[in-house]
Amino acid sequence: MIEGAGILTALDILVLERHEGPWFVPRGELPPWCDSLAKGTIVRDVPFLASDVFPFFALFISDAEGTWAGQGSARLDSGGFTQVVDGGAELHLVATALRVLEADKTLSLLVVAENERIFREERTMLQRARELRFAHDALSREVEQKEVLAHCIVHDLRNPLSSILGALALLEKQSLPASDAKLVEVALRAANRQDELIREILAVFAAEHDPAVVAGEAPRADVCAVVLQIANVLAPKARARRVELLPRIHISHGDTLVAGDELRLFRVIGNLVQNALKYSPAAAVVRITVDDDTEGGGSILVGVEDSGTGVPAALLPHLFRKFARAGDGTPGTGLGLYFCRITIERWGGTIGYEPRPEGGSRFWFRLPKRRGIPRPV
Amino acid sequence: MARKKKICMLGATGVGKTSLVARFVHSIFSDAYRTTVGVTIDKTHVCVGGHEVDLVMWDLSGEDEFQSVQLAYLRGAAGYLLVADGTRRETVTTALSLQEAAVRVVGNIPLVLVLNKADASASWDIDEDLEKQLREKKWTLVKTSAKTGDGVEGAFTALTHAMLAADGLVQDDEGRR
Repeated sequence: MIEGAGILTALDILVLERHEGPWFVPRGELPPWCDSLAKGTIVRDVPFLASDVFPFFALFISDAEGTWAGQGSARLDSGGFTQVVDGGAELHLVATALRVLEADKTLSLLVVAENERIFREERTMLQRARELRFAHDALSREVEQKEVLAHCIVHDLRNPLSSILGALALLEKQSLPASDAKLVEVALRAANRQDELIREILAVFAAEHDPAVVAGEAPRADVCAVVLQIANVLAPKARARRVELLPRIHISHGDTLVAGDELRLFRVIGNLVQNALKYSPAAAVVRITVDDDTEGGGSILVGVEDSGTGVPAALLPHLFRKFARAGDGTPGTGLGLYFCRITIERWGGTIGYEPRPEGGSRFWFRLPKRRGIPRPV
Repeated sequence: MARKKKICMLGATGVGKTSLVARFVHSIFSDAYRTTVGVTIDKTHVCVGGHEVDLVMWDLSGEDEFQSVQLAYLRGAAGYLLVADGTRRETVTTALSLQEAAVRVVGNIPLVLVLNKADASASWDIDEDLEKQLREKKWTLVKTSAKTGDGVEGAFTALTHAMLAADGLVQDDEGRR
């Protein structure tokens, strides 16, 4: 018999004294929560197979053997567990194995207590966290589905536009009266602009849904080849604006491969250069620089510098976010710099902006170098 | 006398492990999500292949960033239901990694792979390729709906059958796979 078992009973605790093996004897009064167990399964002072009534003990008893054998700590807590009882109700319990010296005898005890309050607190907390996680995931899936739908719509808009562009291009070649030729020119310019906007939106979608590049598996692009190509392609536009476009490459051929694919890199640098041309005053110079990165070892630093008005301070915090616009009436989707950022970041690079001390802007990005033989420029 | 078998419910959070047990044992279903903390133990009795079996079901808390599955609870299990949510593809990945972890604890005991929420066909996220990959694992794969009850009894029966087959009490039925 255990001295003080009455105290434990008053605490709503079931005290089981080990009889032999998996058999235990309930001592003292049974706590009220035992009433929810099948009638007659536990009777005071009558040995019973503990793991039959509490299946959880099939594991816990073997864990507690060391405690009862006097090895290590004199108590072992089970952590909470839930037992479904007759009628489907839940009993939230916690058990403690104890080795107790009483008079000249060592008792091996299993103390079982109701764990209702702590269980409910823990469940409320976990439930809330998990519900929020589910809601977030469901929302993310919905947004993704809507983005795919929008992408399909934008993509489909291009098909008729291609026909319009083709028809207008053919019409432009006809000998039309001057007023008609002017109308065709306006229509062709607008259709080309629309085509460019659609391409930009599709490029952003593609960049957003590309998986992040795994180190060592990234495609490679020759940054110098891309820069020189852009300087060529945009030279007429620069001339039309009376702006000088100067590529300045300060790294040796053979060390010019970076993470990324050339088509998208072309679009990234092209976006930055077109912005620079757009905001440059007449007779200004736009420089595209390519250098070995002195800060980020193993990277190449590309800069695009102009002598325009610079980025308004209010726009700076949002500059590389989706739909960031200067609000100065300049046409654009607000997706160009966003596309640049997500593309560069997916390749493991970084992108940024700084005002130039002498006025104007400097956009830069760095990309990790890749090994390989670049194609001849 | 009935044989006693411990089985475990294993899978990511919110895949419907508790709902499957509730449907199978108590024939009830609730749409309200109620998270499991630690482990919940329930019992039921089945008769498979002429053998009476008392199933002691250990419904383990799901694996996620808030709580890890306590794989030690698998000790002594004769089999387990590996549960994924058919409307959330990522839960299959979680199930597969839990299965690998389970093998390290209890070895290759019988398991049944359950793709739950089969009633939600509009948002079903398991394409044919993934299902083919899963079937190549040669596990019994059952699509269930704790909501409608479809496939639930089949999943538990298949697991019980596999456990009895592992004991040599019934023939291993390849046709179930």
